[in-house]
Amino acid sequence: MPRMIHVIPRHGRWRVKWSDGKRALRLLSKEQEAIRFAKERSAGRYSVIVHTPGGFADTQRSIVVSKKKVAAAH
Amino acid sequence: MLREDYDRKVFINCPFSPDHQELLRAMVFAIHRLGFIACVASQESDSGELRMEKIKRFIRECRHSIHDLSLVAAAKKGELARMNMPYELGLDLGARWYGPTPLDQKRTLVLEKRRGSVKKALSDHAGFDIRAHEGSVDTLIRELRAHFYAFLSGQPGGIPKGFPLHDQIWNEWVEFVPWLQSRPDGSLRSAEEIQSMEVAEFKDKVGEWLEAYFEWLEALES
Repeated sequence: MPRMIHVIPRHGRWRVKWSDGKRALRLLSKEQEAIRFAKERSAGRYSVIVHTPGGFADTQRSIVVSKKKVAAAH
Repeated sequence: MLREDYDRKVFINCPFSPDHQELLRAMVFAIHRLGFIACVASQESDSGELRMEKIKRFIRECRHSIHDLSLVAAAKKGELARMNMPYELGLDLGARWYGPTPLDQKRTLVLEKRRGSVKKALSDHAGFDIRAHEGSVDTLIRELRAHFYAFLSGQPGGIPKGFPLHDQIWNEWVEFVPWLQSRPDGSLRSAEEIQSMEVAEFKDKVGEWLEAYFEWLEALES
């Protein structure tokens, strides 16, 4: 499973979490703040997946990092 | 303990319209995550079998059924309400009420979009428990889990160890979907591409992901 950061809208807030993390890194009220925070944490080494309310990855706003780059970051 | 197949199979009777595909996919995922097997009429491709024969066979072969009656109320003026779902619910209840064992042990979950909407359109069904998903995947997962939890708690084996919480299934769903959307080159397929995937293939992908996910979890814990 490749490690990535998820930005998930839920209960009116934006939850930022690592794919292998049980807890959210941060809960933010604004989408843009959440995406900015996720990008900072990924530091360009991990994909940032921005989800729709139904859970799908938003192809326009998600930032995908190649598997090779993720493997190199480990 | 549940008997294999019959006790685990869940017949899904829900709209196949494009705006309902997200809920259908999440429903299939949640059912498999809870340890059951989803059966959808469109999962089989056989031009030699009448659709109604297929539905009758699923009603016979599945102990559980989920009937989503979201579309019994027309969304717009002049639009006709969809009657296929209540029709299939009637067939399923008929099998339960008049059929021989084990059909008389069938379990039914009726879903509606907004609380009370089915009562207006299908007043003969008043008095039965109906759960509302509000058109939300999150709420749908919560309601499905609650329904199957209640079923399992009345079974001899009780609730299986590790039966997932609602939040856990939701977290796994948001892990699963980007995995499914990922192309080999790393780019993402659109939600529409995934939602137009054949149900049989989607079910296979759910199984493949759950297997890899449990292995990954074990590796993380060890």
